Amino acid sequence: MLSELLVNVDPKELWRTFGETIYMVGFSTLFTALLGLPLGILVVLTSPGHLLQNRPVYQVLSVIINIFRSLPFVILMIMILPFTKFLVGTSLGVEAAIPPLVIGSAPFLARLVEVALREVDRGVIEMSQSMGASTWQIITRVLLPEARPAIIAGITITTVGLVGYSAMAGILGAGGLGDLAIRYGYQRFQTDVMIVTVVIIVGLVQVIQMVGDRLVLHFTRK
Amino acid sequence: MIHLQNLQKEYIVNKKSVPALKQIDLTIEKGQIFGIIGHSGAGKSTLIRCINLLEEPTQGSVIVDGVDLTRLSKKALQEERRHIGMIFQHFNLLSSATIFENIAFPLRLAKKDKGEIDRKVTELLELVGLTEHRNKYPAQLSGGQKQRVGIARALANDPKVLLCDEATSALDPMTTQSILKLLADINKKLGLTIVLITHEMQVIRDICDRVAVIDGGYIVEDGPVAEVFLSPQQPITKEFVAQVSDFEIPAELLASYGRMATDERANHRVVQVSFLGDTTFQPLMFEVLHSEDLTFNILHGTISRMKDTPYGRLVIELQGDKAVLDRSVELFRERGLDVEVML
Ligand SMILES: Nc1ncnc2c1ncn2[C@@H]1O[C@H](COP(=O)(O)OP(=O)(O)OP(=O)(O)O)[C@@H](O)[C@H]1O
Ligand SMILES: [Mg+2]
Repeated sequence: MLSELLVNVDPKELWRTFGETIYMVGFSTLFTALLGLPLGILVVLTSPGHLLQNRPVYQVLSVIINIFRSLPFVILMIMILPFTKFLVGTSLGVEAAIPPLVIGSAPFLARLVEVALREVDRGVIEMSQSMGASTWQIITRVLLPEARPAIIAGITITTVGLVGYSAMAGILGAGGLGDLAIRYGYQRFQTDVMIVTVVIIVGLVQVIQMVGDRLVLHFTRK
Repeated sequence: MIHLQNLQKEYIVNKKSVPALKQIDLTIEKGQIFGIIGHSGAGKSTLIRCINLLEEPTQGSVIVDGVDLTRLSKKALQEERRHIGMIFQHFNLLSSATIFENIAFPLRLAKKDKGEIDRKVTELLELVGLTEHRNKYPAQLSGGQKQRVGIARALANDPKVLLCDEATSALDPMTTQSILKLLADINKKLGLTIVLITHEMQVIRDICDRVAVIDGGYIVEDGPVAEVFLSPQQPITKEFVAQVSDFEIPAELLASYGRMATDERANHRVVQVSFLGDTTFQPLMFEVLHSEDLTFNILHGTISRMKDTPYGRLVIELQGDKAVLDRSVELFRERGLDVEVML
């Protein structure tokens, strides 16, 4: 019955592309966090009146973040193709999708991290200074733990966004569920493939959001 | 223990300099509880924050236990700050850390080993009476309990000095009393020097040894609490003192004195008699009033205690021959009472 309805759906192909999506989203989330977190921290710390107050650095970072955030993802992807090729040796496939995904989302995450860190009570930072904490200790023992729920929420939002972008990367032959949906669902009018991939993507987003929410709740002490 | 020398602080607001502290010279002895009182905006917080250089003075030096903090490198200052505890009006606890971890925070900053941290925090929890709350989070505690955590944390590194910026201003009167008592106990037990900021004269009266009054960035008056209390010099000091002993001559009395003829008026006098320390419990006034031919009427009276010093203040109306009144006032003074003729 079900297999009659989904006549065009090849479970093996579905499974493979799902793996690719997980791979893309997983690694790009990882690298986005590795890039976005320090970037967000640096922006906050160098902002006026903060621990490492430094106007030029702050403004340069701020402009860079804004530029990359305002570029439409598809254009960004094309623009940095040479860079991608240099980095991963190819401009096709799952690996090639990761650099643009990271560069597209890290500035976004950096802003979310910035907001999260700004929410940390100034009084607590001052308290740490009064106890002789170094800047590094304030970052690792005060700012990050205090902002942890908000940062996790930010990473969750970013990851969900990455699921969407990874599907878009399918246009440039990056593989994954998006690629499957475009090649079969759209170009060959196999509506059943389209529906199945969409359902899987929606499910994936649900799961990511749920895990994120759980973690936020787990780390919230207020 | 603390010497502030020619301390000045200016804030830069919109490229203009706003003076907050002007020519502060202050010495705070070891083991004292030193109170600083002033109105909102007088510069209290700025002053106390200059003591651990949370606020960098524009000029002058801050010497704590022989070390001029203004001359230290960033690293050396961090080290020195470990010996200066601070507690805050809004507690400033780490909301993501348990009570235990909050108290352990300064010890972890100082990279103490685990066993030592455990022992020390357990001891401090005991001292501030929070042993059973050790694994809770700050959000689960009351304001008074949070301030106890703040105090325990400030004591973790065995500081030489404890700075308290409006430590009780966010607390109700009962809790305020218990926190003040805790501070006084710690001062006695550990011989810790405490600098305390407040806008409430009651706090000064209850636990301070000395007090400085700050107004518009200047220290306008300072001295032993009892002295400042009983004979305030500056108008602003009198205003603060009035917070805890608010007496005004009743309007009826003023009116009836106004109606009196000059020679009758000469036989009436309203005096305020203050006594301090041991004289509080001696019948000095009675001796005078008994031996002289006059009558008296008590209008207002306080017998209380300033930290450990008993004191009393009576406002009495005396009636008698002018010469007798003059002599009685003299006799009061001879016996060491402070007499101020009010009317
Ligand atoms: N960071 C700052 N930047 C600019 N001006 C400041 C700053 N902090 C304090 N001031 C100014 O310095 C003066 C003294 O402020 P301070 O906070 O020391 O007062 P305070 O006596 O502690 O008052 P309160 O009882 O309200 O806490 C005020 O005029 C205030 O506006
Ligand atoms: Mg203040």
